[in-house]
Amino acid sequence: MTRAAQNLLLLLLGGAVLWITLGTGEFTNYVKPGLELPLVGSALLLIVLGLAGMRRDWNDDADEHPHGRSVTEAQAQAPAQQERSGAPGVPPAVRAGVEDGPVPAVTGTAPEALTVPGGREQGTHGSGKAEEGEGEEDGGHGHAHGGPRVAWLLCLPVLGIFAIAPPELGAFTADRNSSVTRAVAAPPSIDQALPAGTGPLAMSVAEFVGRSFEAQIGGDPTLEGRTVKLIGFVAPRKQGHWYLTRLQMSCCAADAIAVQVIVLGAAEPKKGAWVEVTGVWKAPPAKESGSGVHYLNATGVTPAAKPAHPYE
Amino acid sequence: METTEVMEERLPPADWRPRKASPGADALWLFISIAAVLVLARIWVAPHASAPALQAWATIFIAICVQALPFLVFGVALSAAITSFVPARVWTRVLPRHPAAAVPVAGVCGAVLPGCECASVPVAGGLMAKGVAPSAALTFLLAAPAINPIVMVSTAVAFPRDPGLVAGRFAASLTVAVLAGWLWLRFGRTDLIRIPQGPPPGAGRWDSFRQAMRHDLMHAGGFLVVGGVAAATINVVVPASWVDSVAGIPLVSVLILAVLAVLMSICSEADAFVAASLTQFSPTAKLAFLVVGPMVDLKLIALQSGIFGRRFAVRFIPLTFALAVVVSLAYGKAFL
Repeated sequence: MTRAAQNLLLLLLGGAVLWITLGTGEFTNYVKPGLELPLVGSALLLIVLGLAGMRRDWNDDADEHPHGRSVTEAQAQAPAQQERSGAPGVPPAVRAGVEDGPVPAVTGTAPEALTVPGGREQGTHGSGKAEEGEGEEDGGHGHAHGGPRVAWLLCLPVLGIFAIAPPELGAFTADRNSSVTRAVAAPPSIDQALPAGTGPLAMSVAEFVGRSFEAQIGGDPTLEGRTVKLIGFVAPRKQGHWYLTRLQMSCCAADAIAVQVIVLGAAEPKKGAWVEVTGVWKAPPAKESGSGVHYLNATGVTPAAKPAHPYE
Repeated sequence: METTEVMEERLPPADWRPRKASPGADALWLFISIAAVLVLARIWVAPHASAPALQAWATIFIAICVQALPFLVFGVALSAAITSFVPARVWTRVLPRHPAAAVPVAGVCGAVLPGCECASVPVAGGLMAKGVAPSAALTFLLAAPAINPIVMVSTAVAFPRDPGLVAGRFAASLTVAVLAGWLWLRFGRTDLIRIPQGPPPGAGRWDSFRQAMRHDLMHAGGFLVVGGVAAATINVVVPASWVDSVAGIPLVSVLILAVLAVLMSICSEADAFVAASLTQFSPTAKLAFLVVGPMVDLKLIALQSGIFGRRFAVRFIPLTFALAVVVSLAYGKAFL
């Protein structure tokens, strides 16, 4: 991978992150809203780093140093190659001097370019002794021959962000949620009584499930007889009825687990649709008690807009 | 600057081929065309990429990358600053003379100094070259990427409801690093390890900072993507019932995640987010993933064989892996 490509990659990454934070706000589909500031900061740092690198390369060109470019490449590749053949390394304070750039050879020109003394001929069994081995170069990490070819993979998230632009997780993920994860999702205990009043009480699905769970394991049945209002999306249930679902993430979408309430007494809307359900909690039959099953006797189901922060 | 660097380094053979195009202008054009492709993809491809499995996979993959990015960027910046601005001899002064005493001190030093695992191997090499006992340098090598402040913060962010796991990562990793150092002190022979030579002179500090940072980002970032792909695939493609049944067997699940940590080779600043996504696995298994990952993985195996020699790597790496699994199991049994 050339220096130019590395700089470019830094710019692309920084640009993609700025796009999903300041540009579209899509980042809440993936991570918690609080991460916005660190994301913007690191994106700016990436962009500065890429621009600084580009400026350096540009200046080097302007130097009219007839072989300047190739000289740098050569010397950067040479040590890397030695390193692969088992040469001693150098502390990083030093490596950078050797390194500017093509941390070893990834571009198409790589193989034939490696004719530098101390190259492959030194043999792979490691008596090679070079003062300038590029220490931390993971030239030989098993599968990727000679370098950060692996860095090209950084294009993948950029491509994903722009070309797929995946939405928040939904019914597909809820379907895949297994019994084990549901057991893991034992909600935090909630012991206050509900605020007084008679109208439908807006509540997060997680809170509803938490209170329901408390009641099932012998706590106060705080939900008893109270009409509540929950917002979530529709996920099918194989054993009949349907789930009102909300995904809960503790850190990012990758660890999202579904919090689900079985809705009784209402026809199933379209899978994945966001709905607001009004209804009253129903205690599960004794044999299901405490097993992570929660029922709501629905009195009304209306379509709802997707919340700004789709995860709870 | 560049010119002096060039002069200091060995020149290439005379028949070296000069490149035709100028990298700056190339990059600009490349950038413009990539930007154009991305905009077009946004307009034409995005609306059609609607298969639920593909979307879920992409969401999870991007989530892992996005979540880990700030930790990676700031972690790499700190470690580049330390490698560029702190001379290695500072550490020689901090460590006690006697190797047996130096080992735990080196371990604790690892808790203070941020550094990616990719950086810690050459740093340890540099320490040995400066006269630090190999066992102490090896302890530092294992401890630094596992328990430094950035890693601990990212672990706490990834496991907000599991303080025991965060503490466990610190305690178990430090234990493994110190035990490995002592074992090497007791049983390791000097002929097994190749001690790197002293360092040649370096470049300007800011320049070296910039290059170190870009270099580490490219490596760590690439492997982070590998980890993200693997985690997203496990999450979406592997049937939940398989993962459940494997994750339910205590010892097997621990071993599986330990091996997965080796294969994924994720940077320690980002691995906690991948571990958190493996929701079906027990806390002990996740702990093993977090303890093994920074100490043994594919890129570290390559780096260690490259710097300290193959004879060293075939002994030290299995030792570290076994210690990491056993200590994680013990900690999990006792506290998780």
